[in-house]
Amino acid sequence: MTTKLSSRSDDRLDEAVAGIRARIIPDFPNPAVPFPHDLPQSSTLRIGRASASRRRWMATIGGLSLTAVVLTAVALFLQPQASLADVAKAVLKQPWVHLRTTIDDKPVHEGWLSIEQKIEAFRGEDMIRFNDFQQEVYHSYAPQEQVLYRGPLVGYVQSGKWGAISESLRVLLQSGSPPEKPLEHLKMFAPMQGQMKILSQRVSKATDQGRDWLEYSVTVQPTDKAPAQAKDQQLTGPLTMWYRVDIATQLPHLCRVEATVNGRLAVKETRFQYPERGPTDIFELGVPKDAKLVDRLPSGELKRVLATIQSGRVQMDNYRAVIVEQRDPIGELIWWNSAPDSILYRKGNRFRRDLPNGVLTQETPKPADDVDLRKWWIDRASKFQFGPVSMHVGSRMYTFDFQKVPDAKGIKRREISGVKSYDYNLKPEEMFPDFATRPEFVCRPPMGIGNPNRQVSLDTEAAEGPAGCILLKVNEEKYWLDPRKDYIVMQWGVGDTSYQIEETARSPQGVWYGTRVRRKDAIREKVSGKTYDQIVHIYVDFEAELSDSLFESNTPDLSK
Amino acid sequence: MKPHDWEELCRVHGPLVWSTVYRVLSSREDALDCYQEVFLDAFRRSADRTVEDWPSLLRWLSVRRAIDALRRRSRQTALVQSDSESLVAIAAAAQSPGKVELQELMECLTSELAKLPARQAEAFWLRSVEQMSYAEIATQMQTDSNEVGVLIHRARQSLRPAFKAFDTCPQEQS
Repeated sequence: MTTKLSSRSDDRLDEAVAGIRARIIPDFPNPAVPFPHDLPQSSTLRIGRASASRRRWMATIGGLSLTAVVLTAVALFLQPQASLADVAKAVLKQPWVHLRTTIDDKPVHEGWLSIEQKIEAFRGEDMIRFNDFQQEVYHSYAPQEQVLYRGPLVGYVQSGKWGAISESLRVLLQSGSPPEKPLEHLKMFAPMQGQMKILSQRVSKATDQGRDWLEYSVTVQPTDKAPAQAKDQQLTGPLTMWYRVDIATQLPHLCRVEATVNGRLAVKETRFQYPERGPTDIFELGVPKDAKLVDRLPSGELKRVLATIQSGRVQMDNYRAVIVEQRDPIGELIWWNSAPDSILYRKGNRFRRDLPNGVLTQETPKPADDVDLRKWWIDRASKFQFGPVSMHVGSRMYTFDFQKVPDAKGIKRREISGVKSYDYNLKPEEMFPDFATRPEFVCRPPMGIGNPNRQVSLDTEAAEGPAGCILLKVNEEKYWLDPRKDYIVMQWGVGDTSYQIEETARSPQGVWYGTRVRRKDAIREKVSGKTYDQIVHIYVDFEAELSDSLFESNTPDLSK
Repeated sequence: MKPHDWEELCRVHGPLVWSTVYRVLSSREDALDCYQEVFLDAFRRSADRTVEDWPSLLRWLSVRRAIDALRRRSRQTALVQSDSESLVAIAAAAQSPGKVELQELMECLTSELAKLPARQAEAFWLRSVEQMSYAEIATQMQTDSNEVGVLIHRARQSLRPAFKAFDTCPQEQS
């Protein structure tokens, strides 16, 4: 006698596979995250704080893209931070804001915010978090792990998406009537433009419990352009968002979202309170005082070294840099006929990266062997037209979409067809724009220090590595710092890729930066399989005139 | 796409990577770490080759990295996050006990996956969960379709015993 165990086991296995395929996926991190290597815990918080709400919301509503709309909208109420808008101002004037979120009347998490005291706190089922921006220290506690982590908040700002979203809300509140095209006017809908259609919307006044309320509701549903969802995650009815704001105080009191997934109505509500007091430390949020503490706060020599590195990131002078990437050995390549790979700009906390738009049809004579290549490439760059691909202004990042349009000669050139922007709670220089080629960042790369999962150690006596350098280890990653050059990183690696800073220089203000970077075995010829190193030449011009219009998102200056 | 065009990579393919790693890990924090690792890997790989099929490459990298993470996690103290927030679990709680079992089945699969040889696990997951074709898997794993078939077959053989526990009433056959 045998059993059908194997076929039944197969069935069970297939059931498990099917279950996993249908697994609800929470909202994914901002589509343009800072370089993924460096999203320390605080950044995780930004995403993570929303994550609990998002994940739970997903659990109820389902649908990745759909929730992007909802959650961005809900983020208005979940991420109250600095803003210019009236409502935001009103909120932020409060000593404390307390948010309590429920799904189908079941409590899921709470948040506290005090701009005045520079504190944010969050308590959910799987995480308790306390951010002290004054002290630049976070505490994070995972109940399952029963470990309390303490780490640095350096590089983070207390404002994030709130600004953009609150601007949208201002449109609503000031008009007193529904905007004609909310998907265009309301930035909260920006990620889903073209994928959602408005079924109805309404701005109205109501009196309830002796108070006058301004209420806005919008009902949307996905169009056929929305990404397909798993069968059991499909929205089977419209989705309605409903906000209630106290007219007298301009303070939001309620955000409610309703949707039907597979015939089941789900309701998420966030209620606002404005108490005089909030938590003063993470223990007031229920963390046991005897919880094991893992301290990720740098101290002593390490703290000093990291502060020096950080300072270089911030203090770098304004510049325009021409980036040229070549293989080594360069062999018979006619490099002098090629275009620079990119142009990078920095002006204070504004960054921009341009790519060449079009090619030169005229051959360029080979320069003399003793030519000053820096001058030669900077001059050559002026012969090309460039267009922006990304830009950072403060903590907001912009990316540009393109379309190819033929010019008078029939040559197809790229034209900007759209701009997308994303807000971060990172300081601009902590977003490491284009770090692999930027002069100040390529030798001060993101290292993820402060993340609870990343252990840091400093070895000042390390035998290996570049001469005169000390070793900073972050988990298994090695960064070789040069104490003679303000601890810039002369050699480092990510995965199998290593970066060696072969040449450096100092800016007029004395900030060290990289001018020649080698990436070992970074180029492989497709046909022969032969590998080459890649050399990144960074030709920095500190005297270039940098007009403010370079950093204006609405009128990108393509002629530069 | 140049190696440092990670912004564009993230923008275009972020959702795919995110959902792929999350399906394996079912933990937001783990998935976030893994998501970052995948783009690091992609960043590195784009430097030395022309990538013709980004979605397939990223899907493969995502599965690979996520299974690595799964293994690391299984070696550490169990920090496996409850999936009680998932719609499946919510539905399970509200509906039948059978649905609760589905949760256990899924946990069983991911936990057993971590014990499989890496290539078997990758091939199995790419085929059964991510539904990539044998040819696509073979291209990414730098092998041929036959080898992929063998890997998947062996993976299923290895996984099968773990699911016997769920067969409370096996049918008899003479």
